[in-house]
Amino acid sequence: MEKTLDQFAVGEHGIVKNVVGEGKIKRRLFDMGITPGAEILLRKKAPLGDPLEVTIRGYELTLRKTEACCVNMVTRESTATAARDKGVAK
Amino acid sequence: MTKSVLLASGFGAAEIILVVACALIVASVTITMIVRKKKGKPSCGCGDCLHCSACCKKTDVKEEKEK
Amino acid sequence: MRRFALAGNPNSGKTTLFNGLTGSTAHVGNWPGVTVDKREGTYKKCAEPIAIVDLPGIYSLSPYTPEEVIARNYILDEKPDCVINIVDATNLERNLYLTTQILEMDVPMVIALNMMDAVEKNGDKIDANELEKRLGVPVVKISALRSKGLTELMDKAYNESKKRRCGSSVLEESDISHLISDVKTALTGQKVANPLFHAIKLVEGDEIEVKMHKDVLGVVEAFKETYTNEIFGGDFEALVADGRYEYISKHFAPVLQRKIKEKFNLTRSDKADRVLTHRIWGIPIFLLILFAVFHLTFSEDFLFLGAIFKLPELADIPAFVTVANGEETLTYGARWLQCIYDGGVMSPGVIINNVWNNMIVGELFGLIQGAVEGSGMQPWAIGLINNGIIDGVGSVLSFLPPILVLFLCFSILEDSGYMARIAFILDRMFRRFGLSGRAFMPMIMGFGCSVPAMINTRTLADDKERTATIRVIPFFSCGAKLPILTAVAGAMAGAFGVGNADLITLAMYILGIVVAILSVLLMRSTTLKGETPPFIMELPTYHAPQFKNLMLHLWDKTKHFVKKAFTIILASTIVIWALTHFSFGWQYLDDEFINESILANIAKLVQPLFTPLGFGSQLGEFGWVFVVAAVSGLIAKENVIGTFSTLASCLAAGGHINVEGLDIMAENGVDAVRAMIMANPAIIGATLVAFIAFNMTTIPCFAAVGTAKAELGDKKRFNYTLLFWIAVSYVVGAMIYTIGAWWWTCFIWTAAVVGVIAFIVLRNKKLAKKESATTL
Repeated sequence: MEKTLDQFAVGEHGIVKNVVGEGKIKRRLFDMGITPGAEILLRKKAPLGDPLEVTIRGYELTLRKTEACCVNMVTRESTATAARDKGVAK
Repeated sequence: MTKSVLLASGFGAAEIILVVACALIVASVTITMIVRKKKGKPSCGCGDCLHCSACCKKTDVKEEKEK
Repeated sequence: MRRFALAGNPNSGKTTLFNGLTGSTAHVGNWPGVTVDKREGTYKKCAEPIAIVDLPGIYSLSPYTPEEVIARNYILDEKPDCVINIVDATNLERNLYLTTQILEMDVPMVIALNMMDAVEKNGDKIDANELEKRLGVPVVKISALRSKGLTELMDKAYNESKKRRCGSSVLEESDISHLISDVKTALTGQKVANPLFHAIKLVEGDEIEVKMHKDVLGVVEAFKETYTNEIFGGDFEALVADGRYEYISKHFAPVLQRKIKEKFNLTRSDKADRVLTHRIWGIPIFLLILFAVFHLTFSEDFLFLGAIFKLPELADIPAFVTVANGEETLTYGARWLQCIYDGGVMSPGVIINNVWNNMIVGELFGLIQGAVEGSGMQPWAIGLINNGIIDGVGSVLSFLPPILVLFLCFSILEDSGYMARIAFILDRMFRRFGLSGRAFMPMIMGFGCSVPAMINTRTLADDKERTATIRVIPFFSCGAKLPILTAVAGAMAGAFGVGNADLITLAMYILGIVVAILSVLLMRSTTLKGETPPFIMELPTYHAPQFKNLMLHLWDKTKHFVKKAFTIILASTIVIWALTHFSFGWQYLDDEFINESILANIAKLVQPLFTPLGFGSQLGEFGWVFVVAAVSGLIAKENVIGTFSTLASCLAAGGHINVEGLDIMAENGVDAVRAMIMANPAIIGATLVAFIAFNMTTIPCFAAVGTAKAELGDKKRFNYTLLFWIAVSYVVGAMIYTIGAWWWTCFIWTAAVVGVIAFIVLRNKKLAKKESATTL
């Protein structure tokens, strides 16, 4: 299933399909390792639901929903629900 | 006369030393401040070296080069 | 002498390595971007001394923030003999991304694989030899924290520095490799240094390169037209970044063997994080921590024990009171006890403060003053030493303890990694005001000192955000302004019996923050309009603060503070004393005639300007003291209280004010201000609050002004900044004073504020309409 990173639920993970959007932000996302094929886990959301904290390439990154919606992701429904069940509360 | 001319008030050795010392302090502080400003080093003296070492950046590298 | 540069990702341990190599005590923080300027030191344990340059931490050599430009230009232009690329082994993939870019430059390099101890602790393994083979440059395992492997690293680096290395690229197998080699050939023909690096950056469409090599750009453009890729289209920037990461995951990442195969496991750091950045509790916890910091530093009733158990004051307990010269005083032992307890248990910060001021500085300076008085010197000389120098410098020195305790707390929060989380928590709020959470860090640093805070704004990518942040940084009351707050607040509480000095201090801090936020909002909706900058930031892992690190920080703070007290502050008090004891005819004036002095005459001219703020003409004869104090703050903010103490002391000696029962120097200059208050009925609470607010928001000390000028770059922008500071401080001061003196003026102010807001909103709407009309 395809959706953008900002639509993820906490604990959901998927693989980056591509990154769209404006030059500077896009390059920063690339520099930080958000490139096609990378696996991302949405670890948590900040108190007001934004920004997001994700785990990518083994480290924690924070970005806003507006930046996260530039990232198109592929998830498999089964892995998504499994992740949610296990959650970060594991 | 409550207004007294400084010279007339009498100058002992202690007073001369005091005045000279004060003049030296003010002059040296002013000069260092101007020199640092020319070198572009902030003289905030805050000691917040956790975040910036602009004021106490090691200069021995350049000095050794000159040697 | 050979020069080696340290390059690597932010928070990868470069500064720790730098300290280990040079024996320097540069400081280390736990959030990305502590070092924003490069620093230099010397390594002496090699065949010849080697200069080590610590570059700011960067993720990439593409210019995104000013600090990345600094690092890139250093390697390209200054041509170090070797680049030591420090790689955080716990975060291999992203760190190697930068490595692949440095590899493209024609510069010898060595990889320092840092934090190997942390990797091994997790039970993971990294095959360094294999990595070395695949990268083609030496790889040395080190632990910068425990100084392991440093000698081997430097030996290898030294060997490498004697060789020449030609850039190599991981993009050679990619679709665009022949485009890169075409561009490279063209650049080599033009005798450009580092042709491979420039070629790749040009292909990426890097802003700096495009400007530099316009002639070769045609080759890239022509290729772009013939090339399409199903994922990236014609986006070469994406293609290059992807190419690098793909190569890294395929060829370099396998050298890491994880013990736990699962990709997203929960570490201890994550557990702490779940509480501290909790969706609901995150913000309350943050506020609680902030309150705890102030409580720990300033409260005279620690944990509210005194209030809860209704404990008596020492003076009410007969056993502690003796009668000397017909006056009741506390016994010597009781005075020590008083440092810890007096109607309530003191918080640790206050205990240190009391011991330092009441027992050490107070006693010592009292002894000196007594000795000077009995020395038989001329009265003017005694006045200069006792009232001028000792009272002035002493009142400033007395602030050492609260400053140290406050900053110890802040460094603990920072070193642990919590500060970076605060940015994460507060980003949403900051965005309302047109800033990113990233701007939170330089602002918090402003509580320490504006200078490093302004320098740190280099981590902000957006120029307008940077300007706005630099302008409001002084409103975050710095360590040097703390004396103004506590002294005036203490005097207020003492003289009017209103409120609690700690609460007034905290309230003033909050006032500064509120003014900062409102000014940002104002700027971002008028002169510095722009998109809210992105917020993409690494969150470092939590770790326990390092004791050594904290002590180093405290030591630095102490050293600089004492040094400053005996240089700039000392010189300022001498000058102030001299200017208040000479008339325009260079005739010496006794303390009684201080009102006819040079300084008094000049200050009286300016005094009426401050009438709307409460410390102008209405204060009458000695009102100029406030003006002088505020102006002397432009040299260093500690001067404000130093000047107060000096002048109050002189006025007392001249019989102009009554200081009975007060000790000008004791208790952080509180009594100096208090004496001034009692001497003049025109001084009301609002005057003092306005005075603090004015000093807090006006032009900062000249070191900060110089830094602002350098960081803003643009002369016009700098002049506007000065104007902005004057305007804000004047308006805020006037608002506080008038509302405090005549409550009904709050309606006038409200009307004015509403008017301004309405004007801005309407104007912005009009502009937006115009814009949409032109784009249609």
